[in-house]
Amino acid sequence: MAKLSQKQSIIKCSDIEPHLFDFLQHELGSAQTTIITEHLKKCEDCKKSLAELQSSLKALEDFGVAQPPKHLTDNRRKRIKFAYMHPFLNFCYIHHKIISIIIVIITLATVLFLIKNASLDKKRNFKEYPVQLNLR
Amino acid sequence: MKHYSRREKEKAFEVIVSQYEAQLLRYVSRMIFNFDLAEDVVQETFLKLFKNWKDELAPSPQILSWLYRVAHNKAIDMIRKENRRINHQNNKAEWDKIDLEILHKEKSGISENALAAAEILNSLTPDEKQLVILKVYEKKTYKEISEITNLTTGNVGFKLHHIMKKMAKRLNKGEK
Ligand SMILES: [Zn+2]
Repeated sequence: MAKLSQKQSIIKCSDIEPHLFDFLQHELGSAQTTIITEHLKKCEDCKKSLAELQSSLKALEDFGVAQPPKHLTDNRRKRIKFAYMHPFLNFCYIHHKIISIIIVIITLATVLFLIKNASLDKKRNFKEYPVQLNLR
Repeated sequence: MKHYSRREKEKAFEVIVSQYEAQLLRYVSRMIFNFDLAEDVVQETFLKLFKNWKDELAPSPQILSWLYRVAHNKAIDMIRKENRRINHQNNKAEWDKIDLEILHKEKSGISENALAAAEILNSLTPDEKQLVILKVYEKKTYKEISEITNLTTGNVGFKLHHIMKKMAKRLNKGEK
């Protein structure tokens, strides 16, 4: 105890003040807490700093009554669950635009390919005709 | 990675979402001051969890820290995106209005001092806001905050002290 009070006598406000918030939040060890408690009994400046911190904290806590929603909406919950339970379908859902574009391109390419083949067949038939004539 | 049956997956989903949705909604709402956008952020956070989490899907301090970190980053992205959108529309005032929607909705019954504190909170940088919300509203210890933010516990206390001091100064000025 004598050791502690000797320590206290050389403690300056600049040693105490940076720990006032820690003190308020009970984040200090018991020795530090005792030193600050003792210092606060004698020092008006630090007491004032502490009171200011307390009033800011109180103001913030008072604002805490603004209540955010406690649950996600059903739609959002379903959306998350769907993504988790069906990752492949979800991938298709997310990339549906790109997938649709790819399907359209493939379909168009197939159609063009078929048309081209059909017209080639026609040309071939046309070319083969005179050959048949020659044969006669 | 553990393989889950359909039923186990459903159960894990229910447990994780029910356990963490309220605190994440609270946290993000206070980060971005807009309930609808907060729900977007929390939805994205859960989607990322269920897509990327490789360990056991059961409530744990590790999952909670991970969720806070991801929600925080997504909230910052959301703030940037909204700012860009509003700048693009040349209508800077709008974001401030959206920002303070909660304040005005809840104005009745809240002291002037509390409103002033909320406005100051809203003007802090995202990292400063994060520390204040985790400490003051979520009542996390310095150790828990350090796990979420990757700061040392000493640094958490140091930063919080400065933020709260700055806030006290601004509140006092406002009163005068
Ligand atoms: Zn002092």
